[in-house]
Amino acid sequence: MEGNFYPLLKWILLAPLAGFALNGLLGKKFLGEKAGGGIGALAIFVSFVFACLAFSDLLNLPAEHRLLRDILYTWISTGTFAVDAALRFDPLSAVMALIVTGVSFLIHVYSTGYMKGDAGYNRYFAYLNLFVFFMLTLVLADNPLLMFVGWEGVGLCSYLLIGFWYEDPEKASAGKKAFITNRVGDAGFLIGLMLLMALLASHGLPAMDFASLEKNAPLLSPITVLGIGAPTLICLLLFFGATGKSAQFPLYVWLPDAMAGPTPVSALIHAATMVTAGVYMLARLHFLYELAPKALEVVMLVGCFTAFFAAVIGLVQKDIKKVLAYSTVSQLGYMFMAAGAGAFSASIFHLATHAFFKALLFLGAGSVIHGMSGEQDMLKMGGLKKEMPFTFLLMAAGWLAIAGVPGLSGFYSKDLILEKVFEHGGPLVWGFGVLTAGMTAFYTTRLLILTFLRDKRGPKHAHESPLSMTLPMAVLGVLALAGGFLLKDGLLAFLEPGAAHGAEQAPHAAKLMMISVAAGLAGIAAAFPLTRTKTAVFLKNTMSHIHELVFQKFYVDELYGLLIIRPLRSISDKVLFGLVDAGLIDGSLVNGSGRACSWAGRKLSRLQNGRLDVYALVFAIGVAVMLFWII
Amino acid sequence: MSAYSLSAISFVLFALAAAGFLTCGNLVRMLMFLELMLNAANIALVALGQSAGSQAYAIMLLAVAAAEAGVGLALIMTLAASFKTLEAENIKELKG
Repeated sequence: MEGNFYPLLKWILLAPLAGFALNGLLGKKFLGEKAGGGIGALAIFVSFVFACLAFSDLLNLPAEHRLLRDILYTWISTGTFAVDAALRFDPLSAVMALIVTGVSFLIHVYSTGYMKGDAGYNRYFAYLNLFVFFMLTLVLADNPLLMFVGWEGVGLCSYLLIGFWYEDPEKASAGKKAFITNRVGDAGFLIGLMLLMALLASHGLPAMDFASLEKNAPLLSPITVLGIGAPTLICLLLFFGATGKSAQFPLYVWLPDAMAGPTPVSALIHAATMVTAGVYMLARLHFLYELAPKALEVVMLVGCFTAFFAAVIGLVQKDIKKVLAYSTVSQLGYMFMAAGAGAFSASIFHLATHAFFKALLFLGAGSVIHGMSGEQDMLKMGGLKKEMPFTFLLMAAGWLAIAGVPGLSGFYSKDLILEKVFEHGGPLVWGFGVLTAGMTAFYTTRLLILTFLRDKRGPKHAHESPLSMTLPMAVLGVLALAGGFLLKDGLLAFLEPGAAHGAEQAPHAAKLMMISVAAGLAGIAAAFPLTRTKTAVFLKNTMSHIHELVFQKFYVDELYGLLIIRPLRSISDKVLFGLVDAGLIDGSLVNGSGRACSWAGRKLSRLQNGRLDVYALVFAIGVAVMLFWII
Repeated sequence: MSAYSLSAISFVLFALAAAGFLTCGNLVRMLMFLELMLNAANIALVALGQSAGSQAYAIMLLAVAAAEAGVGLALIMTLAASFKTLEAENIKELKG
């Protein structure tokens, strides 16, 4: 097996697991808030340190042989088919592991301040550590099966954390919605995975680790399943799983509702890490997608549509977290657009910068909500600049980064994506991308203006957040500002050592960049006059139909309710419950068998009539029959 | 007498005794038919047994039959005392 054996890798995983076990088992009774939060953050820090160690050792290897492996044990072993629980640390996993552990650590520190005094403090940290464990499993796994374990695990933790305040039925049902929507996607993922396994096994190549898969994948190209090329079908099914986890159309509906969870959770799981799992999966299986150009085209179009669609909805939302949620959906669309254009490194680059600035924006929003004692409606905020100066400055950093102001992180990654999309997708897709960039700038500016600038509209008084919350934000702020500049060459060269970068700038690249920057600046500029109360009310009234349509999110939730949920409910209620459960199982099988037994008992008890002569007769007949049978 | 006719006697005797046991309702008679069945088995043992050992078993069976008859009669006496009848169809204590 190629790759250097590197036993330290397992500790990246085990530290968060230990944190989960400590907080989960000992919990409130033995640890309390201080120790619980400390252990939670420390576990992630240890994991981060191990990830850094592995990263530095990886850098010392020659560029073409950067791969560390660690085999924990043989997980599945059935005849010819065997799967190891093995970890893999190559440039892609390294980048992901560093982002996951680094951002997680900052958010854990932030959470110690944000969750102070919550009844479920230790439970919260236990879940959060468990989430990091599963996310690292997903990122470090060396075969798609182990990856699927992490994939499901993060879904579980997401569900647990969205419904963290489960006493509120609305929040609990948001958790359920996220989980069930994800299950729909997971079904596609699982079918794709099984198809891949079955087809490879039928060629006598049951090895499932990524290196062997990359080697064996071309064998699949001549096969067709249901009239579609096998790689295309597998890729589309896997991508369907990704649309669930990474909140793409048509399965994005859970993410805005997922904002019911605590805000640091939104920052960590629903902005920086878990929702990027789909993008990571695509990048990890890029060799498979490159065999299926049709599937890549679908990925690009879905990403483009989602980016545009979500940005439109984000324009008019009132809830500060909802704006950021739709922004996340939109930015994830960007990543898929890049992946669909074949620029997997660009999508990972955007994933990294997005993790920084979106986590920052979410933490800033959390700080605002914390300061306003739970208020989330932006129309009731305003003028918070004076009361929360640090938060304002850091939010402004995140705002400039996401709006694509030249020199900041969002600019580099978005620009790279748009350039690649122009090359592979043509001007139409690119045009929608640029339009989305303009709208992104608009709604983030609107968010900032409504929250921090202008006059105070709400009666509530705000207070600045404690240091434990502003400090992690400051680190993320630095990363959001400088991350793009620092990473732009290094990261891409690290991810794709073979390809040359930067040297061959296409002649139109500068022009494209100018246009997208102009779109971003126009979005910012437009936001200032358009968010004035008078203008906003005027616009809302003149285009009330369109506003209503967009504000109600194009009635997608209602449509799903009507087309899918209602029929499913009525089938469940009438057929499955009424007929199958109550009728067949309860009525016929459970009660029926009971009734049959008691009926048979009543009938048979007549035989035991106590008359000796009858017994003797039956006995004699029995003996006669037995004799007849023997002889 | 040949073993053939001896075993024929034993079978006929057993069949008659079994028929009698099943048809009559009086407990004392039933016990007597039971003894007859036992004796039929005894005859079969003597007829078909080739060695002296099996002949000896027949002697032992006679002793057992005597003991069994004693026990059976004692049981019938007690039953008759408590139920005031000897007809089997009137004794229904075993009914479930």
